[in-house]
This record gives sequence, structure tokens and C-alpha cells, in this order.
Amino acid sequence: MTYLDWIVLILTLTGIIAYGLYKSRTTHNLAGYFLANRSMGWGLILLSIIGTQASSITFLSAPGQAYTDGMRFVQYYFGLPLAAVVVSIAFVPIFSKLKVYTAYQYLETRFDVKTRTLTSFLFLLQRGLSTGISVFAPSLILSSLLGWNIYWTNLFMGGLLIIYTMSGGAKAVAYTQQLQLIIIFIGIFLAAYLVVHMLPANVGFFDALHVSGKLGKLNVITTGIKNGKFNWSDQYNLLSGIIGGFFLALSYFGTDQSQVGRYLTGSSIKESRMGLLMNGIVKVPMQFLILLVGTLVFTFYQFNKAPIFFNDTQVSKLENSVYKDSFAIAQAQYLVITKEKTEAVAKFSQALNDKHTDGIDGGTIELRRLQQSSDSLRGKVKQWINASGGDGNDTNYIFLRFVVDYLPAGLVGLLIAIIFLASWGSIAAALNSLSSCTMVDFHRRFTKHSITPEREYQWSKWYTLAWGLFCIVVAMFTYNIGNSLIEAVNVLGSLFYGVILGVFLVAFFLKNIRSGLPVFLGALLAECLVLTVFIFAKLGYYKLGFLWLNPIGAFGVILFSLVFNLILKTQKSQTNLP
Amino acid sequence: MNTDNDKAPLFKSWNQWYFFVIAVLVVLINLFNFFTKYFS
Repeated sequence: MTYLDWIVLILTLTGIIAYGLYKSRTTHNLAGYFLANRSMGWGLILLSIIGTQASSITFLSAPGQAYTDGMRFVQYYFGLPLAAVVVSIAFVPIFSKLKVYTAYQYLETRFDVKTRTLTSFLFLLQRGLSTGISVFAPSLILSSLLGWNIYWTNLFMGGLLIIYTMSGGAKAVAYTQQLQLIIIFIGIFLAAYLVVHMLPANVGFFDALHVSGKLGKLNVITTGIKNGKFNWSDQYNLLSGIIGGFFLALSYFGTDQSQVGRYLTGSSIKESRMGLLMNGIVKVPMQFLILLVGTLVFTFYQFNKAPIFFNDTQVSKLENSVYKDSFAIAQAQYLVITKEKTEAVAKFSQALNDKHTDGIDGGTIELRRLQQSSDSLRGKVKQWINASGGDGNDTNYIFLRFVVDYLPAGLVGLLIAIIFLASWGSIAAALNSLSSCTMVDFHRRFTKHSITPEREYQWSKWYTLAWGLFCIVVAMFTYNIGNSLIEAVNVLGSLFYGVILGVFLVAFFLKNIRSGLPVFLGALLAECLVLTVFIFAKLGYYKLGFLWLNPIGAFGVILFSLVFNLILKTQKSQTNLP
Repeated sequence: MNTDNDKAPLFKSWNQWYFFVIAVLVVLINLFNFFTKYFS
């Protein structure tokens, strides 16, 4: 990084902290601290919802995902607009009418305190751990690429945002997210513009799309059907995106306090609904555009030499492992293929410009052959890295590697600042929600003597600080444990989300279930079912994409609650018999 | 939160908004399908 990059980075980050502190003034009570006095318009709610969902990994991983696997990842978001509609119809009016601070508060009104406490606890468990990983994951990427100390990077990634989140609560979170998103989109747009600008003079935007399209990277819609059969282990296709994605989004927007807390800040039901529905409209195209940047980077690397593996730290380890000789041979072969590919893609672009059909068809076949050879060599390198105890997945490194290697001074600093800002946006909302659940669902609920609003406000600030420190500790601890924990925490959401959603669906739609016991028992049994299904899939008895765990958990709770309700009713009627 | 001010903006009812959101999704899926086929 140059001095200019450092100046841009430091100015952007201190600017955001100062802006967060400037917007921190709020009333000293829980409504002011956690819900910004329910005063927000839909525009701010929309940006806050987007800023909470889009972490730094969204901006790092999505372009890398498009580079390696194509654009089909966008299908993961197809269930989101449908979920936005259901949340607007069923969840928002009830939360608003009851004037709850947390989603779980409603469950005590509907069922009992143990159901509320169980769901709130499940939320704190999974959100606390996953926020720690949200601190660690981008820190690891930045420390690997730029040679920064991981512990200091964790501290800056998770620590600085605590200043304004603790000080200003939901209001500071929403206003900083607004500014953060503006900077993020400017940076991403500039990066996309420069990728196209750096392509050879005779290759335009549409030519770039043709190249990546012919090499299978513009596969936005996929059916998941292989040899006439639906592939259940395929993570991203139209069906899994609509059904699995719907249940995941419904649990996330309907029952995850980090999102519920955003739209509860709305000044009216109208503002909350509009924020959610507008997110349903803009989210899919937004993800499409971020993925498109990844395909443009892919095309750029067809004309320029791409690294055989994008994480240099892992490459250095491989060069000192037993695979060093095989790796040296693979690198030499990769260099030859890259040269052939550069020539082939130049011919293909010329044929496109000349509208020479034979040239286009022949070029496509040749490019696909070379791409297959190149992918095969990359696959071997990944296997060797995995076999020597490293992390063979470089998806998250692709976009940032390109930024550091090719973008001009100043813009590199801006894009690294963007990684921080995107992280801060989602982590700040998570800390605010963790603090609100701890304060409202546990402290206030189980403290026998009442305290003043001012004291509640002070306690909430301390809880925000405590959760912030907890997440930094998780991030530091994760580094010592390694990648297996990261994988485990990535599926953690799907292990609990479905069950939490199931409890809410019973609450909203099964009015004949009145007592809390059937739902409580149903939720525990459904959680056991989800864990069993997950463990058997992990043991290799069958293949199942993790998105399917969400509908299994949700339907499990509904089914078991109905059965327990029937059993308990039968027992009760038998007891009442004379 | 003011629960009285719940009139849908732009459209006549909230149902029309819900229909609009789903219609946008359907249009996007079709456009993406065309995009996939066109560039493959």
C-alpha cells in the first residue's frame, strides 16, 4: 500500500467514526437507544437492512464466487422478495401493535416465558458466534494479502465500531450504514469501470460478457437437474433458491433481531413495510451487479496472467511442503496455458468484432478446452494445499488480489476501507441486537426490582461493549482453532434459523395452539431432527445442501407442535372426565 | 410507532404492492434466463 492509500483508508475510517458519534445524540431510554424512538423513514430503514445483511464477505466473496462458479449464486436471493411480502403481511403489524423491542418478546405474549427465553437464547448463541467470525474472516483476508498482524487487524475490525455503536445505539448504526453504503457502491462502481477500462482497446463491455458467457460464468439461472434427476446437494439453483432461500430469508427478516431491530425503528407500519418491500425489489439486482463485477474480473484475467492460486500465504506454505516439486511443474504448465489462452481470447474477440461465425464457434471450443486445463491445474493445487493442512479455498481472495495488484494508488486504500465499512455495518447492527435481547429478554425480564430508564440506558451501553469484546475474543480464538470452526459457524445459522422460524409460524398461523408447552417441546424435538439430518449428511449417508435445513426445521416445529398439542389436549380431556 | 398511518403509498392497497414485488421477481428471473441463454 502506498502513502496515498493509507491516507484514504485512515480518513475514511475516522470520518465514519466521527459521523457515527455526531449522530449519536438520542434520548436516554431503551426506545431511544434500541429503536431510535421509532422515528425512521423507509429510505433509512432500507439502507440499514441492506447494510446489516451485506457484510464485507458479501463484497469479497460474491465476485470471487462469480469468478470460480459463475453467477448462479444470485439464485440464493430469489426467496428474499417472497419473504419480504410475508414479513410485511404477518410479522410487521403484530410487532408494531405490541410495541415490542425484540421479536422474542412477542412469544411471551403469545405462548409463555420459556418459549421466549429459548428462542432468544438460540439467537444470542448463533448471532454472537457468527458476529465473531464476521470480525475474523475479513481480518484474515487482509492480514494474508497485506502482511498485517492478524490480532491487530481483528482489534481494528471489531473494536473501532464499538465507539459509535455503544455511544449512539440504533440511530448511530442506521446513519453510519447509510454513509457506508454510499462509499461502498462508489468504490465497487469505480472498480468495475476500471476493469473494463483495463481490457484491450478492441474489447468492450459486451465482448467481455461474451467471453465470460462462453466460458460458463454467466449461468445466472440453473435448474439443478443432472442426468434427468434433481441434484439435492446442489447449493444454488432455481428451486433451492426460491424454496430454501425463502425459508432462510423469512427466518432472517422475520425472527433475527439484527434485522427485526432495523425495521422496528420505522415511524409507522408503512415505513417499516416499505423498507422491507423495497429491499425485496433492489436486493436481487444488487447481488447480480456485484457478481457481474466478478465475471468482469474473470474476463480481465483471460487477457492477463492470473495467479494459479490467489492466497499468497498458502502458496508460500505449499512451496515449502512435500508438494513443492509437483507445484513447480504445475506452475510451469499453467504459464503455458495462460499464454495460449491470451492468444485464443484475442482471436475470439477479433472474430466477435468481425461477426465471423466460424471464428466465434472455433474460438469458443478452444477457450473452453484451455479453461478446462487451467481449472484442472488449479484443482490440483487446491488439493495439495488441503493435503498439506492449508485452506484450499481462495474464493474470498480473488477480488482483493485483483484490487491490490492492478488498481491505482488511492483506490486500493478506498477499497480496503470498504472492507472495513461493510464489516462495521453488519457488526454494529449485530451488537445492537445482541445488546437489546440481553437487556430486554433477560436483564429486564428476570430482574425483580425495577430500575430507571436512565439506568436501563446505561446498562444497554455496557451490554453493547461486552458483546463487542466477546466478538473480538471469538475472532482471536478462531485464529488459533483454524478453518474447521469457520465452516461450522457458517452452517450454524441454518441449524437454528428454521426452528426459530417454525416457532413464529406456529405463533402467527396456528391459532388453535394456545399454550406454550407443545411449541416448546416441538422446537426442542425439531432442533434434534435438524441436528440429526445435518450429522447424517456430514457422515456421508446422503447429500443435502445446507439451505434445506431451514424448511426441515420450520416444518418440524409445526408438525411436532400439532402432535404435542393433540396429545396434551387428549390427556387433559381424559383427566377432566368424571 | 404510529400504527394508524398505514395507507399504501403509490398503489391503492398493500396487496397491489405485494403483487408488484412478486411481479418484479418474476420479470427478473425471466430476464436472467434470457441473459444466461444469450451469452452462453
